[in-house]
Amino acid sequence: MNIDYDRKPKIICVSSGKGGVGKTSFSVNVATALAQKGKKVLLIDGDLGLANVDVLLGINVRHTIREALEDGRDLKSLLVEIIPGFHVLPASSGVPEMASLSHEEQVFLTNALDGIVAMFEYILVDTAAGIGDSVLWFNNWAEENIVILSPDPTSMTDAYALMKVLNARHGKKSFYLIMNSVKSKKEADDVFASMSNVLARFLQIQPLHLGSIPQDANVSKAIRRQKPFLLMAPEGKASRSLYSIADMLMNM
Amino acid sequence: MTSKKSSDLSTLFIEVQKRALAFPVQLAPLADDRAQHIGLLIYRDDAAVSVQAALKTVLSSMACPAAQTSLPAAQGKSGDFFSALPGGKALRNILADELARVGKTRLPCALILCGIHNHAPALPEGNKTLRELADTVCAAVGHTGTLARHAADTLALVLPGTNLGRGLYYAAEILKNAKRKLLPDLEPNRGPQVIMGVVVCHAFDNLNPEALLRLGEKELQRAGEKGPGAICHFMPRSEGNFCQVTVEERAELLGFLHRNDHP
Repeated sequence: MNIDYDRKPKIICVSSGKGGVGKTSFSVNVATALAQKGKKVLLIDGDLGLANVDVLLGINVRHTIREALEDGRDLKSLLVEIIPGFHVLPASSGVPEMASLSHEEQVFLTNALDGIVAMFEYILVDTAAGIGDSVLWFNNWAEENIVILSPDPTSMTDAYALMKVLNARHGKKSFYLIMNSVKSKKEADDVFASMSNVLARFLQIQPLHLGSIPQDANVSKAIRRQKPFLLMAPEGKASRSLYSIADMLMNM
Repeated sequence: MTSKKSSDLSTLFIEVQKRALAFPVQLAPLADDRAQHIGLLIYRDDAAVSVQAALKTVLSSMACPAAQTSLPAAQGKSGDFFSALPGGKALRNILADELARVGKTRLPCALILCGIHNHAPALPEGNKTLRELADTVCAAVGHTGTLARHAADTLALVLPGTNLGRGLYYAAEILKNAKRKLLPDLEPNRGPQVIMGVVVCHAFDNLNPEALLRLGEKELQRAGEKGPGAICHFMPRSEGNFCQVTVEERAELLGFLHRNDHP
């Protein structure tokens, strides 16, 4: 793979606040969609202590970001190609120390990532749930921030809390919202309108509507089969929405 | 500068040193064999190494051992002669590099200004105290940061990747060490008293070295007004911002769910 150091990739962070909202499923599938459209994509598993991008993709990884931090292993050697154009940088699971990197480790990781990002056109970071240090740091490192929420009160509250922290403490003003697992377009619009109103009124932020993903049995089926739902059911409702979100990302 | 009374000379010496720190120069104190000031050599800090070596030779040939011993062994290009630490220009370069890193890594950095409040005016003592304070700072923070001299009686500690909590922790550690190691030898209310100003900045603050130093000086001044042992801090955008989701925010956020339940 040739490295064009002059090219600047688009770095996008995917977060949600609450866990179980569909961040990893979205990240894996949107990376697949972008790769299918001919883009070079890197998906970084940003849940450094409880990684599961590899689980959703059904791959077995022996070496992870942990080895880069502990042994100085080159990040390039850790990359796993899923389909042509789509690479994953895997993280470790069950390593509590990785859940909160020290500042020195974050600096090291930033420099190490600098060495590989130029190989790609899109860098997606699938962060952990919550508002821990590594979540905030990845969101700061990225230039675009996607927040996924579902139409339930806990998801909406946590997504709002995440954006509030990123805004108040880190000056982030631009957020793309994805309404996941919605029953209808109206429900997606209601969720977006409500979140948009609160963000505008209390934080003076106007979020951007990136899209919504409808409830689709194929999604949970694909998760159990450890495959992207785009590959398993490309014509399904969720897949069609996902492709239009990928199109929007390419026009961002 | 050799025909003045010792106290006048010390005052003048301090004043010249303070002013010189704003310029890209190096200063070499000249003292006699009783460690009394007899002069001050000022030369451009971009002087060639050969020129600096020649100056050292000249100083060595003079009958002023204190001047010889006060020559730091490995001084940086823009180092401060008295403390053997990076001086004004070098400090600004260090800050510029650090702020660039803050922009790149999106990690905060802290600047801690450690001031000697009410320190002995006689310069050899003052410089000795400053060097001791530098040792104390290094002992407290290890290899975490970069130490420089900011003004006649102020050290600047630049701490990469340090948030406000950690910055204040280091400031407290430095103070604790200073109290234990630096102050006991001196009479109460007479010896050096340490004060500290802590500033933490993030990438979105877009500060330049001068602005960051000004904020640090302001905090140091506030600490000076509070008295010995005071630590004052500031963060352009407060990390302590109250981020908890309020009852009003939650009510508005979730209101539509309840309206849909009860059309």
